[in-house]
Amino acid sequence: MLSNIAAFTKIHLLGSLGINELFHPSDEKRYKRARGMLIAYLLLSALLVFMMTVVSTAMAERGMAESLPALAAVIASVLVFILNVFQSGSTIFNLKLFESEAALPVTPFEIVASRFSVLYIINLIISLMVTVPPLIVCGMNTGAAVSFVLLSVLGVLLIPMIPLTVASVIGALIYAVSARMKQRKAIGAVLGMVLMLAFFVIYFRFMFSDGTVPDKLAELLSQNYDLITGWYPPAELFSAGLLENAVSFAAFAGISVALFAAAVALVSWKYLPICQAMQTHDAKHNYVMQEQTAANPSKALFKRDLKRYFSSTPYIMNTMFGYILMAVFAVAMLLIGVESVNANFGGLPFIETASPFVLAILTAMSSTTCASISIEGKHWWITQTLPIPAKKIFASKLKVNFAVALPFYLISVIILTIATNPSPAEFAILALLPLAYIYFMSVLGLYCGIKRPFLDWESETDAVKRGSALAISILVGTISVVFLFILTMVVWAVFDVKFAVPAAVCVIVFAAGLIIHRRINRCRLSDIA
Amino acid sequence: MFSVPKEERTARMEKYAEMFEITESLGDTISTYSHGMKQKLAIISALIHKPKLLVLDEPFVGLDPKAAYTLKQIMREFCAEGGAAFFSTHVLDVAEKLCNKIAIIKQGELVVSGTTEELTHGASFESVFLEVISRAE
Repeated sequence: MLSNIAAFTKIHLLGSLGINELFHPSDEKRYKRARGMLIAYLLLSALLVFMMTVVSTAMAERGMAESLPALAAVIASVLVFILNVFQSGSTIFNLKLFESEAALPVTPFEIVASRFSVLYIINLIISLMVTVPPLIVCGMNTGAAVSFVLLSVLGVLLIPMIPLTVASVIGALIYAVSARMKQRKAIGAVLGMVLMLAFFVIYFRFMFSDGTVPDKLAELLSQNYDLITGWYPPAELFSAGLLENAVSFAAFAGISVALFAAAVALVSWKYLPICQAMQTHDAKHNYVMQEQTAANPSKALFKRDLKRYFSSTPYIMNTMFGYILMAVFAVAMLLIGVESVNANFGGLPFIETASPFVLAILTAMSSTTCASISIEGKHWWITQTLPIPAKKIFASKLKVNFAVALPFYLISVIILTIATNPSPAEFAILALLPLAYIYFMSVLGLYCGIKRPFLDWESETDAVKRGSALAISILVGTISVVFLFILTMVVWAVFDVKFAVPAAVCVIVFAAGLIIHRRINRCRLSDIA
Repeated sequence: MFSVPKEERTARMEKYAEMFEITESLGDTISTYSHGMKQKLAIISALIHKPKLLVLDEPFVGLDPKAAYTLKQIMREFCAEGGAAFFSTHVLDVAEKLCNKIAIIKQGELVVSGTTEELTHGASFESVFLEVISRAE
């Protein structure tokens, strides 16, 4: 049994992490992509480790070295939970793998155990990056005993288990509930979105619960230590186990392993019926010929692309959430009150100045166009051979992003206008800057998608998340917003000029968008492969 | 569907869907279709445009006997109205009974081509095929 689990785990890991392509490339393009992804992951990992080290050192300097293990456990757990609550379902119930594995003489338990093992190993890597720096800083500052080191080594292996289990069970439930329904993809997306929103609502409440906005993460963590660890008792057990008594550690280890094992057993129990339900399609056979409709090519393409967007759960989840957060941010500002937030900035109109940039950065993380070509995958040839100018095909993909973004943009701007009561100049910036970014990110995402399409994907999640087009456009978008925001603040502080930079930003971003748009319109469909 | 007015489209859809007996399934998603139904749908999609030339790769694979017969009828009508159907098949009987011109390909190379009468000279196409192939080896 264990050998089967190990074999499945190995095969899945080699395939899903791009390791196969790295060591046994089928072609140069795939190899370059795998290598690029590896470099991106390594850079992100280095950044995460660096950030955790800096924050841990800052906390140790504040005399909170002993709090680090619990905080590390909480941060790692939150990260693992967020990263898995939507993705775990598709990994556990990977139907393509299920078809090939179910034909083998193996039990559902072995399949499920291997899927959970894959998730565990991937999340362990992430968890190690978050937990090891704080534990080392803690050990160095508290004169750690040998038992601390030994239990730390064991503990970091256990930390991802509880959040991964909870996220996987929720992810599996989302799949199970939606599996029997015809619109299961849309339902899956809605359920996932509701969960994510609930998390952010709680997060916002926590951030502003005492009316302050801490300017440093270390200060935030120090001030809210009890609140943070109070939410997650296993972190306290882990910390007490390392620093005080082994019984707490044993309890932490016991709970982690027992929950993980119980989740594997629970999912194994209903695995086959869920997979079968997901594969069973309901055909009604009751169609009666109706009058056909006709539309011009632009409208027909737009309808087709919009349908494609709403038929893909990972596509929706990964691209709409930033837009939803725009509305959440606006509502949060309305409920909390702009004055109470501004009070932390010497009463200056900080939120009025920052809001357009907050909306812009959320826009920069959300464009649907990065993946709009990649998502067509093996069917791209159909679009390529349509007797329609490329310009119209590109325009329909841009329109989908506008259709998704504009309702949230309008809601956010209206609510923020009510919340901040802006001057005419502030309102103009609030309305125009995010709009310019929506346009800029739409064309930038599409351009990156044209230049770096990822068409030979295995799952839609890969198409949406793994393409280098996404990484490039998000990086360019977010860095530009952060840079321009800092520039605005500096000019405001030094020269007491508040609107010149944001106004210039609107013009520059829009002009940059126009330039990229013109480049897009010169691209040929036959070159995209 | 491009450049097919909706009235003509509706009429052709009705005609061919009835002929292939899949009208009631047209409202279902294609992922629920069997291989044969997908094949029928692809053929109908091609015919709706009323093309001059049909290029088909193994059009009879997956079709039930009645649908295969219907397709043969449609192809005959299509050619009688001036169209040309160019298709590949491994079913020699279909080629012999349906085609007025036949080409035999072996490993990507054209071995022989001509009208059906020129190739068979009254013999069965199967025996001609086996002889041509063995000579080409």
